[in-house]
Amino acid sequence: MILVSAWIMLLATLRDRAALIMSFVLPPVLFAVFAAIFSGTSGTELKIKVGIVDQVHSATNQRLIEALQADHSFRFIIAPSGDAASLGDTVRRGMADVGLLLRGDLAAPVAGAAPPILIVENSARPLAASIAGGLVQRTLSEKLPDVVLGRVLGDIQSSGALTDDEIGAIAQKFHPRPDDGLGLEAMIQRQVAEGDGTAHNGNVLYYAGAVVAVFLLFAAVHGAMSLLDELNTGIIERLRLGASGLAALLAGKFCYLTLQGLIQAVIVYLSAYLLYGAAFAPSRLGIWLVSCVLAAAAAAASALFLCALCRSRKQAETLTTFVVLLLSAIGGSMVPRYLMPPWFQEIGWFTPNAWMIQGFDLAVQPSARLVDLLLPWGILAGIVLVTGAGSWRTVRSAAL
Amino acid sequence: MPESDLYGGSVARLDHVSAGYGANAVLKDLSLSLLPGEITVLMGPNGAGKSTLIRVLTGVLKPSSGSVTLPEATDTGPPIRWVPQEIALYPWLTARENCVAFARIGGAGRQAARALAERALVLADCTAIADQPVSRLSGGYKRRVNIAAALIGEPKLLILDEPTVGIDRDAKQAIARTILSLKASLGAAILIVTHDFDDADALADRAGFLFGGRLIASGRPADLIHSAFGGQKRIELNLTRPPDDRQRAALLALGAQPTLIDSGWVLFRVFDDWAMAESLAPIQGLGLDIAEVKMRNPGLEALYSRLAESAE
Repeated sequence: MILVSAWIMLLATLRDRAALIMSFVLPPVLFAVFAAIFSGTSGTELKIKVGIVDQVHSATNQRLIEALQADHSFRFIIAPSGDAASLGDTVRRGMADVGLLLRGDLAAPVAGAAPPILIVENSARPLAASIAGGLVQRTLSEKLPDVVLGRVLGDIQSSGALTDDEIGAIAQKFHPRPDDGLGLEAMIQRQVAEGDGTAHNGNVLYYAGAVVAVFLLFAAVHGAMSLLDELNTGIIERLRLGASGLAALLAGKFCYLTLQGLIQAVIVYLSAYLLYGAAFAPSRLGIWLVSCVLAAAAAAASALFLCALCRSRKQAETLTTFVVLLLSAIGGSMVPRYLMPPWFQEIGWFTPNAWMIQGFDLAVQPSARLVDLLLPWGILAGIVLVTGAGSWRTVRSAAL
Repeated sequence: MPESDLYGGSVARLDHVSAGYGANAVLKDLSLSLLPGEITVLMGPNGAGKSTLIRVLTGVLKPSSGSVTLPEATDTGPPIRWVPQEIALYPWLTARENCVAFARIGGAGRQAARALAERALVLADCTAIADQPVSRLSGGYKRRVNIAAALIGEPKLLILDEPTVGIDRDAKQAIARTILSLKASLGAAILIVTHDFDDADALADRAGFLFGGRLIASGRPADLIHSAFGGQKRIELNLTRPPDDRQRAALLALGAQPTLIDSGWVLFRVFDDWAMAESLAPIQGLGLDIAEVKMRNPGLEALYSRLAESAE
C-alpha cells in the first residue's frame, strides 16, 4: 500500500506539468539566478559603481584616481567637474552606488579645512559607502604611501611633538615609494581557511544547498496537498481505511516526497557542477547523500504536517507559501545568514532551512568530520520524527 | 416488526438504531432493511440524518443503541462501498488507473487489481473513457467513474450519495440506466440518498423518508403514494400572474397549495381521467389568468411535501 500511495503521487507529478516544472525545472533555474547574484556580491566579482568628482585636479589627486581605477573590482564614473550636490544627485538617482568628492589636494593639507575626500552615500546602500571607504584607505596606503606619510608627519609637526629637523630627517630617511605600501601588506595577509577544499566556487555550492532547501519545502508542500484532496473529496472515507491503512497512505506520500527531494538535490548540484564547475571531493558523496536524504525527509514530513493542519487546499496554499517563504528567508535560503543581524542569525537556527544548509555545507567540506555533521543530521531527523508524528495524529483525527 | 422484514433476506439491517455525536442523537429508533437486487431511495431534508445513516451503514459510526447487521467481507474486497457526493477520484489518473489504485489500496495484487478494475469499468459502462485522465472527463462520466471505483470487488451493498447532482439531463438519464443495470447485473442492495425526485421516481423499488432522524415512512413507492393520496390526481396550475388576496383565499379554501414559484399552485382532486374539466369547475369562477394546467398521478415529490408538512 505504501508503494501504491507513492505510485499515485508519482503519476500525479508526472502528469501535472505545473508540479513537474516546479519540482524539477525551477530549482536549477532559480539556483543559477541565485548563484549568479550572490556569488557576485559576496565573492571577488563585486562591481560597485563609484562616482568620482575631482574639484582640485592636482597631480596627487590624479594619482589616487588612477590607482583606484586599477582595481577592477569596481566600476568608476569620473565626472570632469561638479560639486557635492551634483554628486549626491548622481548617487540618489542610482547612477552610482557611492560617490567620492575630492575637494582638496591630498598632498597639501590646509589647517582647519575639511577632509579632502568626501564620501557621498545613498542611505539605501550603506554597505557601498563602507566598502568604498575601505577601498580608498587601502589604495592610499598601498599605492600612495608617500602621501599618507606626508600627512602623518604634517600632523605630528603641527602637534609640536617633533622638531622640524626631526621631521625632515624622518622624511629624508624614510621615503616610501609607490607600490611599496605603508606596511599594511606586512600586517595583513589573506588565506583560505585550512582544509577548505571547496575554495574555488565554494560559495556556489553554498547556494546550491540554500536553493535546494527552499525548493525541497515548496515541492514537498505542493505534493503533500494531495492529502487534503483525499480528505476533502472523500477518497479516504470511501476507502474506509483503518488506522494501518491510513498510516501506509501517509508513509507512501512521505517516501515519494523524500525521493522527489533527493532527485531535486541531485539536479541542483549537477547544475552547480555543469554551470559553475562547483564540485566536491568524490569521497564526500556518501556523506552528501545522507544530508540530502535527511533534508528531503525533513521537508516531506514538515510539508505533510503543514497540510494536515489545513482544512482546504486554498488554506494550505496561503499558509504554506507564507511559512515556507518565512522559513527560507530566516533560514538563509535567500540571503546568507552571515549577512543578517546577529539576532536574526540566532533565530535562523529554529528553521529547518538553516540545518539543511548546514548539513549540505559540512557534507561538501573535506575538513568537516563526521562528528560535525551529527548535530545537523540529528536535528533534521528530529524534525522528521516530530512533524511526522504530528501529521499522523492530525490526519488520523480528521479521517477516522 | 420492521416493515422491511416482510421482504426477508436483507443484506444489511438496522433495528431500532439510535446514533449521533456525543450527546447529540441524530438517528432515533430507526429500523431499515436493505434487500439484494433492490434499490432503496432515501429522501429527507438537510440535517435529517442521511449522512449519519451512511456512516452507520459503512461502519464508521457505532450506534448508541439498537443493532446493525452488515454483510461480511469477501475475498474480493469490502462488502459495502460508498459513492460520495463529491468526485472522490485522483484527477490526474485515468479512470482505469483510479480503479486499479483503489483495488490495490483495498489489498488486491497487481494482476487481480487490473481484473477487478476492468470488471468495475464494464459494470459502470466506462470502458470507452477508461484511459482518459479523470480531470478531462465530462461531469457525467466523472460521476460514472466515481461509481465504477465503488464497484471494485462487486460489493453486496452499494451506497450512492446524490449520484446525479450537478449534471445535465442526458447524463442523469445515462447514470440512471447504469444504476438500473447494476441492480440487474450485480444483484447487490443499492441505497441512494438524494434530493432529486426524478431520480427517486425512476429508480426506487422502495423509498424511505427521513425527517428529524426518524424514518417516518418507508415502503414501495406505489403503496406509499396510494396510502397518502388514494386515487387523487395532482393538478398543477401555472398562472400568468400571482393571485390577488381574494383569489388566494379561494384557492386555499379549495385545498390548493402554493408551490415554490409565486404563480404556481397545486391541487389534489379525485376524478376520472376524463373528468378533469368538471373537477376544475370551482376554479373557473375565480377569474385566474391560467397559463398552464398539468394533471398527473402524485409521485414521491408530492408525498415528500405532504410528509414534510405533517413532520412540521
